[in-house]
Amino acid sequence: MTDDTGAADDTDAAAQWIDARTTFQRVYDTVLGATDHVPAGTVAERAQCSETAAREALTQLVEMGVAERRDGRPATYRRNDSYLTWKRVERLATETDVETLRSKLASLTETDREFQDRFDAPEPDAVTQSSLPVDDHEAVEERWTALSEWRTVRRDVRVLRRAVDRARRSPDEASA
Amino acid sequence: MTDRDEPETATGPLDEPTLRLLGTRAVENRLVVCQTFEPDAITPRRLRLGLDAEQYPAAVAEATLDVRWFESGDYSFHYRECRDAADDCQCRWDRHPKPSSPRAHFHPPPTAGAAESSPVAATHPLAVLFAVLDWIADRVGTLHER
Repeated sequence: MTDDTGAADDTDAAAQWIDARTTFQRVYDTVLGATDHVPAGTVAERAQCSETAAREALTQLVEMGVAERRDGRPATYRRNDSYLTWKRVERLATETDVETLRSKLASLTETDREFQDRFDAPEPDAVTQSSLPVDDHEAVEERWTALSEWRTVRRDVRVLRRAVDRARRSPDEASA
Repeated sequence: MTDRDEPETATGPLDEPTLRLLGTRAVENRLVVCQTFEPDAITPRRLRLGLDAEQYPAAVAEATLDVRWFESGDYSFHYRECRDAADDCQCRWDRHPKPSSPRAHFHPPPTAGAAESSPVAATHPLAVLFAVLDWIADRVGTLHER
């Protein structure tokens, strides 16, 4: 057995992940993908560790601001979206020059306007399902895809506005 | 996991943190050699994973896996093998509202044809990624046996 060169060739992707990451790191990975509140037991199952270990890691991740906890029986956890958005804003403001951010923002704002015209609605959630064609499956799917893209555009507009503000406030930190 | 299968749930915006998670964890897998955000990292729309062509038979020039993940738990994993001397082979694991199919479905190779029931039951992004990578690893094995 020559295990020191890494996992054997037949190990599956999950086994490779378990080999490569510590228990804490696996709980971190698991919680980053948790958009819904889940109990520590579910996190433990997904992270392939004991519930005690999962709870300890989760407590630490809550303190770090990565995860949020909701009291209950049992308590539940999910990722902290405001922390992740903040991180994305920081990354954009420090790694991209403000002119690039501004021109991206302008083109996204234009795309948002085009969607508003196309759907005759101020925002994607204001588009009523009843206005969808019922008999043409491809058309329905295409519209659903477009609405998802519109939601992504609006999210990006909010994030980029914050990134531009952030880059403007501290120009020395936020150089390209 | 709560039930994400309510028929009226629309597909949310792209889930940027999850795409980052999938990219960084995927490159640790022995099949994956690189990750890039397309069209760019400022406003990503998909994660492209480059697969190790060396592990494929010589006929396959390039293999990629394009990943999209949405806040509603919807996703698309699009696998492609490019060949110099023959048609490309592709398939897709999707989860999104579809009028004529279950929310999670599979477009089988070689052309990512009409949707059939999905072999992937997992809902967590890493579990779905791992299931897809395992399928690709099996596929590479099968290609060598041919």
